[in-house]
Amino acid sequence: MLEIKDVTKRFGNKTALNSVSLSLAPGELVGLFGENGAGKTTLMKCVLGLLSHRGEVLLDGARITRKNIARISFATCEHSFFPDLSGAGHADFYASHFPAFRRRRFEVLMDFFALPMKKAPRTFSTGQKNQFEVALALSQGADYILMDEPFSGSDVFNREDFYKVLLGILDSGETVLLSTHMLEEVDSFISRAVLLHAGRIAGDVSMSELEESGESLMDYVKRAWNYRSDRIRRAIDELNGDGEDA
Amino acid sequence: MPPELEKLVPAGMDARRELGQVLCALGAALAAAVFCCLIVYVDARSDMYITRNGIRYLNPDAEFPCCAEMAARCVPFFAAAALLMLYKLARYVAYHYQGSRSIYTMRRLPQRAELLRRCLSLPLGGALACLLLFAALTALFCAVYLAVTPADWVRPGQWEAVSRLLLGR
Repeated sequence: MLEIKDVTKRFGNKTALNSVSLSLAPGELVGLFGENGAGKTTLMKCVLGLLSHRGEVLLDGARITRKNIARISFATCEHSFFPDLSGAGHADFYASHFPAFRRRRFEVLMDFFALPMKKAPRTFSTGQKNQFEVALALSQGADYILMDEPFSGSDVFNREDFYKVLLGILDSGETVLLSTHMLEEVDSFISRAVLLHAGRIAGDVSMSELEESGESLMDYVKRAWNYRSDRIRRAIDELNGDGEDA
Repeated sequence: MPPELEKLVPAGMDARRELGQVLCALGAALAAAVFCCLIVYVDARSDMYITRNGIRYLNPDAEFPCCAEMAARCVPFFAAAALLMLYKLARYVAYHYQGSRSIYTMRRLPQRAELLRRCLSLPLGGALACLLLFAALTALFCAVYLAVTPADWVRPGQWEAVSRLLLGR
C-alpha cells in the first residue's frame, strides 16, 4: 500500500499541494487528472522524494528511503533516461541498481515498440523517447509505477500501443498511477480516477462506482471541478457585446 | 577498458575518452611545467653573469633564486589543469539535466553515493593528480637544483621554502 498522508508543498508563496492524502492499493490502475498546474507532477515528485515537502509518504507502512525506493518507478514526459546510453546500456545500468529489474520484459517492450537496443535515446523521435521511458519504468521491477503524462507529444497510435501494452503486461500486484489529460482514452482501462484541482484532491472515485451511477468520467470530472459549461458562450457573448459597444 | 571505469563517469559518457582527456591535461601540464622549470633555471643561471667585452663574469651582486621560487612558476600550468577538472565536474552535473532529466533516475537510486561517484571521481582524481604531480615535480626539481647548482649560490632554508610552497603557507 502506498500512502500519501497530508502532503503539502509550497514554492515560495504558492501552494502547489495542500494537505493531499491518497492511498494506492496493490494492483490498482489509477488515473490522476487535473488541469495544468493542479499539482500532479509535484505530487509524484514528492512521493519519490525529489521534492522536499510536509507530510508523509509511506510504502507498506515504512517511510520511503534508499532501502525501498526501488519499489517505485517513474516515467515522466521530461524523460529520465540517459540520453547517450544505449538501450542495452540502460538494461545493464538498471540491472545493476534495481535488483528486481525485469530484463526479459524490457527486451519484449523494446521489441514491441521497435526500439533499437544499440542506439542512444538521444537519436530517437519524441514518440520513441516516450516509449523508451515507459519501457524502463515498466521493467524496473517496481511495485508502484508512477507515470507523469508519459505520452505528452505522442500521436494517437503511439498512445494506443501504450494502453495495449499496459493492459497486457502488468502483473496483478503492480500498481500504476497515471497522470494524463486524455480522460476519454484511459477511462476504459483505469480502475479508479483521482482528481486534483488547485493542489487539493477534488475527487476520488472507482470506475465501478461511476459505471453503477451511469455517469461518464468526463461528466464526473466536470462536476467535481465545478466546470461551467456555459462559460464559452458567455465569453463569446461578452466579446460580441464589447464589439457592438465599440 | 576495465568495466569499473565506466562507473566513474555519468552513464552514457565515454569513459575512455573522459579519462584520456584528463590524462592529456595532466601530461600537458607536466610537460609545460618541466619546460618552464628548465627555462627558468637556465635564465637564472645566465642572470648570475654579466658580459663585458665578450667575456662573461660572475656578477657579485647577483643572487640566485631559491628553488621554491622557480618551482612556483609552474603553478599556473597545474592550476589550468585543475580548472579543466572543475569544468568536467560542471559538465558531468549538467549532463544529468540535458537531453532529459536523468537526474531523476540518479536521485532515486538505492545507492546514495552513485551520483556523487559518477560526477566527482574523475574530476577529483584529476585535481588530486595535479597536486601530486606538482609536489613530485617540485621535489624532483629541487633535488636536481641542489645537485647542479654551485654550493655557494644556494641560499640556506631551501627545503623550508619548498614546504611553504607545497603547503600554501
